[in-house]
Amino acid sequence: MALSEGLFWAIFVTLLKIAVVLGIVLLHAAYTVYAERKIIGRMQARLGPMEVGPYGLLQPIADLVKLLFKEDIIPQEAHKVIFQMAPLLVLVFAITNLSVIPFHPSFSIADVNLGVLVILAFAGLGTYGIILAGYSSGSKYSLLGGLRSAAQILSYEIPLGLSLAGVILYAESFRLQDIVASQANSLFGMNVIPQILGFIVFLICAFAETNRAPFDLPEAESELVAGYITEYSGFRMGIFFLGEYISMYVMALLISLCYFGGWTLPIWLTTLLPFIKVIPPTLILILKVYFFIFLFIWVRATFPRYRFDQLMSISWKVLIPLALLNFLWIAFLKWRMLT
Amino acid sequence: MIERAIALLILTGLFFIFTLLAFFFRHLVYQFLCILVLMVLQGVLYLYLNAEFLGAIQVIVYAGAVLIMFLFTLFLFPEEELKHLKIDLKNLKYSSFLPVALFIFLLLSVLVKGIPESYQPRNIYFDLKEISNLLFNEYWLAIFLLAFILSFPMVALYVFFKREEKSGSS
Repeated sequence: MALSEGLFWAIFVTLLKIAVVLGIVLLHAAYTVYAERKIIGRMQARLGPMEVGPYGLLQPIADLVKLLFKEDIIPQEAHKVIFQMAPLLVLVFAITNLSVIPFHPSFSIADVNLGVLVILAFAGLGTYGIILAGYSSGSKYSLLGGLRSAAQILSYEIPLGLSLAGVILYAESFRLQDIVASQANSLFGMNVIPQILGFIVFLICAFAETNRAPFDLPEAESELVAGYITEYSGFRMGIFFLGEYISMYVMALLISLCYFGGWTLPIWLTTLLPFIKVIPPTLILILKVYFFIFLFIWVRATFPRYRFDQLMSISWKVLIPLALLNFLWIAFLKWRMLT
Repeated sequence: MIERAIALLILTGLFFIFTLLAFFFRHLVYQFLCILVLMVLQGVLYLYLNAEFLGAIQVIVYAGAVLIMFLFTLFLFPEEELKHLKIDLKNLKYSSFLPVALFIFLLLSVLVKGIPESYQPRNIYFDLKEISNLLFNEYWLAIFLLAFILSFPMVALYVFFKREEKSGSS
């Protein structure tokens, strides 16, 4: 009886945590679309959404209602089962990544020892959604988008993993809580200082892995209409967008946790500005995440799209050697620290 | 412990179902999807055996990278060549005879010999080290035969490419 009660409470607490995380992240994802339209609008000297609600604040809700009530069209040439399943794959693996990310030293849905590896694994599986969407649509544009996506994600997973290897080596752990703790205890306070090269590589790969501009070639409008989402409409298209925005949050969280000390502040900063010690840890993490989300939007508004050959060259000829160099540097640094 | 035994049973059932589906689908992409599920299930099996690192690597490398390259190659073929695969049943009958016969032989040998008393089922189900000890000490002949069978495709590939090379040069 005691065991079953314990099990019941464990399941109840986990479900509650999932509900809290999902609620917050889904709301954030919806309002990130609004923020993106507003910020890009301002950067292009226009107002952005203004019609629905005060300052257009209800625009995301109006968009959601519109997407839900639009007709769900499945092309005649499409592979129905795969066509319907593909958006769900993107969303499910993006959301599953959130389960291993800690938002506070004592708050995560699942405290996994191999947190970083689990995120890499789910990110790898999530790409199947995009590739299969491209194939199953029965359209040349979609297929080309899917092919581009396969090549892009394969190429950028390698430098992404290599740059994270430096972080793992420095922290001597795959657990994200340990990675944050190792940064707080280190001289620099943040991994970004000794691993600036690794951070740059990771940041560029994060843009490519989430198919964001300037690496949004799988959905390049000027060449492929909308790439793998050309044939999608209504709520299925909405699911793709939701998956993309959640992936953005996952990447922003990962950058904050692995390179910017997560919910901690460096000792040199708190000594310089003692009043910032009162900021709650979760708020520190959220502010860092917001900064990187803003960066994603800023880059989209600023940089033109790369050509596909340039995209491949950047990964294989620039990022992989740089990530290896960073790994060697961290190995040297670690060796010096240990001896 | 019974929950873990049930989980193992479900996992085995899923392996069996997706292996059969991989054979019976007539479309290459659907067959590929079955193999993808099998790869992920293999990762889950490693997790079940408390080999978390191996499980994660299995999914990252095989399901996340190697199979994407397979899919990439499949997409380069015209759609007509991917669907309505014709299986040469006559050849399949001959080529599958040896593995099926060996499988039956191994199954019978396991049934006749039984699991040694020194091994507690609890340990065998849940410990990777115990499983490898059991397999490599008690069933070394079966493992040797399996390794021998697995070397067949490599030899076959070598012969195939040599033939292609010869026909290409002539």
